[in-house]
Amino acid sequence: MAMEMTNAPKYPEVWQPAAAEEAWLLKRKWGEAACYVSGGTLLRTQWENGVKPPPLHIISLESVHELQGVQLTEGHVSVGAAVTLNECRSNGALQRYGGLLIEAIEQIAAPSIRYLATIGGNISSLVGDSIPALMAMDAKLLIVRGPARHTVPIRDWVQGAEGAREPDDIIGRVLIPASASASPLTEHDIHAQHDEWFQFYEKVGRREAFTPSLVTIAGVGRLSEDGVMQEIRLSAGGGAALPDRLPEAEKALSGSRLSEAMLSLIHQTINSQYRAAEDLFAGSEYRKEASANLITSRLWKLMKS
Amino acid sequence: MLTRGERTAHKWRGRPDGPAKVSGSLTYLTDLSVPGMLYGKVLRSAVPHAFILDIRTAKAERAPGVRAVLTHKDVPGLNRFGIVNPDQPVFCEDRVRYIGDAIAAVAADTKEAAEYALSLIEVDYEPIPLVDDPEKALQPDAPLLHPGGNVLHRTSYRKGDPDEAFGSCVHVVEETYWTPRQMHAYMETEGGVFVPEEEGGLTVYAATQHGFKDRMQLARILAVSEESIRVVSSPIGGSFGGKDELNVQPYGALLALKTGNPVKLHNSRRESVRAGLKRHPMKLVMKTGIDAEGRLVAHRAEIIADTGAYSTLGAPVLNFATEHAMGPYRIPHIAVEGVSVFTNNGVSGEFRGFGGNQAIFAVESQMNRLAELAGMDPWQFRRLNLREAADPGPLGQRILPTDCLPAVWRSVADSEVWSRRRSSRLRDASEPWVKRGVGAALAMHGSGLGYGIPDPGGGRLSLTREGKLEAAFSFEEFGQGVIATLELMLMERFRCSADDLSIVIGDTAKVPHSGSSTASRSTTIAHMALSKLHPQLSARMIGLAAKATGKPAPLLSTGPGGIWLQPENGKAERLITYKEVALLQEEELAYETEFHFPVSPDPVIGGHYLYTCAAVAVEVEVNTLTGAIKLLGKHHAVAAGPAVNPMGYIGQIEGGSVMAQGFTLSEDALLQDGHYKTENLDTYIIPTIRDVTEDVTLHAIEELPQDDPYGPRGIGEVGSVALAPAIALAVHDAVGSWITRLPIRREELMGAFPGILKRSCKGADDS
Ligand SMILES: Cc1cc2nc3c(=O)[nH]c(=O)nc-3n(C[C@H](O)[C@H](O)[C@H](O)COP(=O)(O)OP(=O)(O)OC[C@H]3O[C@@H](n4cnc5c(N)ncnc54)[C@H](O)[C@@H]3O)c2cc1C
Repeated sequence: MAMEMTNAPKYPEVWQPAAAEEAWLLKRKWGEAACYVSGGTLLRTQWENGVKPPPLHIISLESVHELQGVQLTEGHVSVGAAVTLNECRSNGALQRYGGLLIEAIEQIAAPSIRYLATIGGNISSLVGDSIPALMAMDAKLLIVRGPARHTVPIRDWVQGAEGAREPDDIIGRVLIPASASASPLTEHDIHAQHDEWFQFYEKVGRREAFTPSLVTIAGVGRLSEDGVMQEIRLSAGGGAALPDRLPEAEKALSGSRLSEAMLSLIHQTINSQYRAAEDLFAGSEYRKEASANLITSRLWKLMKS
Repeated sequence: MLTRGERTAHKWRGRPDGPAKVSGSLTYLTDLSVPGMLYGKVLRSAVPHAFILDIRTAKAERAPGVRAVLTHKDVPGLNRFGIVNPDQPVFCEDRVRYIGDAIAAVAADTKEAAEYALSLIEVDYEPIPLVDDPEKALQPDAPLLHPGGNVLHRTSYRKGDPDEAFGSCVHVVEETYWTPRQMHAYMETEGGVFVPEEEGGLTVYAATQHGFKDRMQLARILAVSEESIRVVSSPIGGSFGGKDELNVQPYGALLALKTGNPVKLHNSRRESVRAGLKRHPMKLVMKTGIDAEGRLVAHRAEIIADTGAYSTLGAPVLNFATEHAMGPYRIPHIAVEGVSVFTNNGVSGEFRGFGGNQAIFAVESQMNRLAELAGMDPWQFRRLNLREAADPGPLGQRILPTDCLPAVWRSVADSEVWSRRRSSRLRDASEPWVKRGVGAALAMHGSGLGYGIPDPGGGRLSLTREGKLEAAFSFEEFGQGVIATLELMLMERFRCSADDLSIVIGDTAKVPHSGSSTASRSTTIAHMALSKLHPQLSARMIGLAAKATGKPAPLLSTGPGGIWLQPENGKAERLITYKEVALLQEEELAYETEFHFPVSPDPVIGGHYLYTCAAVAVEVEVNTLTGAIKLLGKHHAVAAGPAVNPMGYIGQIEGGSVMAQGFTLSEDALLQDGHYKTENLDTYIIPTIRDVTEDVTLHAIEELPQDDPYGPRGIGEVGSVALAPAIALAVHDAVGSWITRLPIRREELMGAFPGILKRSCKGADDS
């Protein structure tokens, strides 16, 4: 039926730049009225839930060359921000060096969503389940800010360290160290291969799959032959809290040997240090306790193995 | 044991509606589109409790594409609905009582235009203090939601003198239990298409569990005759009780008649959460005492149900909870008091299990605690106290004697899952924080609506002119498999093939009154109706065939494709097809029957006559690092007569059980200040297939008392009624915590890792 919808709501305008700088300039131009979109999976729920109004201008990052593909470069696996979670999962370089990330991705949302959702969008959400894994892996982000490019540790970016994150920034790529620390060894392999690196990731939600995270933890570290912990990186997230590293627990562990007394101390440290989220589904006390429990139980298993 | 795919003892028949549903190709009523169709939208209240001072629709009426804007002024008949007591406004006049209350409705050329028009309707509210807690609602200073006050319904049952009897008890357990506001979470949200017909008629294509009841309610609202309305209501993408009451039908009907155009309405999930029914949250305070031998002596239960803003089926739900609050046990002294209270917390109503699930969780939990105090095994404790076959029913009424309880009790006692109870709590020494436990619970669950509520049944059986054996019932197909069940019943009786059959349901223009598809009643109604109608139609067809072929009637029988001759010593042959029989005479061969669902001879309101029994044993794993619970294995025992449709039977028990798992572990529609905080399925968490254990056995106990006239009992609810207390016992077995609140809170089951370690090392040293 032909009719005029003069007052009816407008659909947003969609821009599909091919260059990152072009995208950035568009965002500069339209400011608050514009928004970058990658897979759109998170934005869609935010619009529907009234968390954010739909913007007047959608800047799609889908066709931006710089954000595509996964490359194994010297020392890094470089993952384009526009790569979907499904693509990450089946990528050979990531399977080799991104074990924790893949483990994290397997527990994000459901297959249909992972088909659209991107790694860049997951990180930009600031609460994505990939973040604790990437923090433990010591990943860095390549940030597009106009003509400039710079790399920042993912922790600085998420936590909003001085100058690290600006509103119009585009995450260009995710850089994962292609070193022994990131190779996909499980605890069980440690003995077999006489390799000292260990890593773990765990997400707890309100059901077994397709669930928002209550608590997500990750850890990477090295255990020297005489049982001393080194280069340890621990992280925690879950709910609306920004994921973070747990530096005090890391400090207490590094250079020391695992013992039950040490684990008690670590448990206590995490419990008092971690600033957990609080919502209708879990209190912050629950989240702290569960994070401390999960990390110390993983270390205990390491100690026993 | 009834297992998937069993083909020997049972007829394993795929459901005719299955492939289309699984492949997504099935057209639900909310998928229909008709030419010239408008889109309807309903404006719901912005606040949970307020007076309406003014409603201004002028701007919306002028918006582009808008064809009609309706408010209370546009309702020609009764501006109310409600199955039992119509007290819910179709459109609120001067007051809103919950966040889903309807104030106006719009029909427009597009959905977007309708939504936009809603945003232009201005409503002035004057807030009334919120009543968001049933106990607060009972305080003398609470604002009253209705002229009759905040009490919808009270129940009371007394036997003996419990107050005195508690004095003689050796052990007494006193505890308070809470159950959640569970959502039906059907796949298809409420909606439909409403088509005006000639001479003021109306066809409603919208899901319901009782087409004739919708027709009656809509006629009352529209001020037209019932006969001018046709309700087509199947197939349905799930209901579980949630679509028994009217939902969007009044708006679709009013808009269609007003505009003269077909109108489609379909709730978004958010609208469905906001306006739709939920399971009654209940607080149950129980005190139960036993003697030195562990025999139950006295039991007291107080039930407070949060019924939300309007009546719908709140009163019968409370009756049902009351009837199930003492369990199937011999207890000489009993007092049960129930109250169902109006609040501004949404609307509670019918939900699979109908108030039984809440009461059974509480009373079975009491049994577990008492068994522990008595130093007895919880299952032996139950055996000692079970009622006997000829005992009166829970409310003292006469019931059909049944031996189903010892049968389900025995099934659990002998089950593999229950035998795991004695083994170690520890799964694996490498993860000492994971604890395992086993629990079980049982229930005797009433079928039918109960004494005092009209519960008419009936059906029609005919041979159509096309030669189909046609069964017509006013049942609905909402996923329970009623079509396959009816086919199997007919194939068994006529020994015909599925191709000979035509099943007609879900259309008031084509079916007789058989009552509602609810309360586990359809299978029994169908059995009773067919037991009466099949011999009539069969004899008539054989008589006609005998006359036409000259063969003796005693040698003839119905079979695949038609009437067969079985000579004394020869090969059977088909003499005449059903179609040929149909054409042997002028009028259609059709037989109808009407009767009432069986009720107790004793006038006890809400009391049942037929009961089914169910028991379930479950093994769980508790991760004490996080408090997460995982179900490892389940054994369901159900005594409900013959499994007419084994696939449907398994589906109902498995489905009911998973629904009960959600009720126990994760589901709760949270409200804050009268507003839903779980507005979609991303925060309202139902189990997925990954939460469902594959280790399930189902023991269908099919024997019925001799000469039982009522046949197979319904099993739509019993799979869901006893799982929660079984899980609660299993959790206790695993970690020692007693559960009082559902869904189970993880905080209560977790420890601090260093402490967990110490305890488990100590445990290992002790053993
Ligand atoms: C049902 C459902 C379940 C979910 N479950 C999970 C879960 O289990 N775990 C989880 O972590 N997440 C979950 N999510 C959230 C979301 O799907 C993921 O975080 C996803 O990875 C987001 O990616 P996207 O490409 O769709 O992001 P988009 O929705 O496109 O964007 C998200 C945000 O990031 C910005 N953005 C996108 N790309 C860039 C970029 N390259 N540079 C700068 N800013 C950018 C956007 O402007 C927007 O603010 C779920 C979402 C849904 C709908």
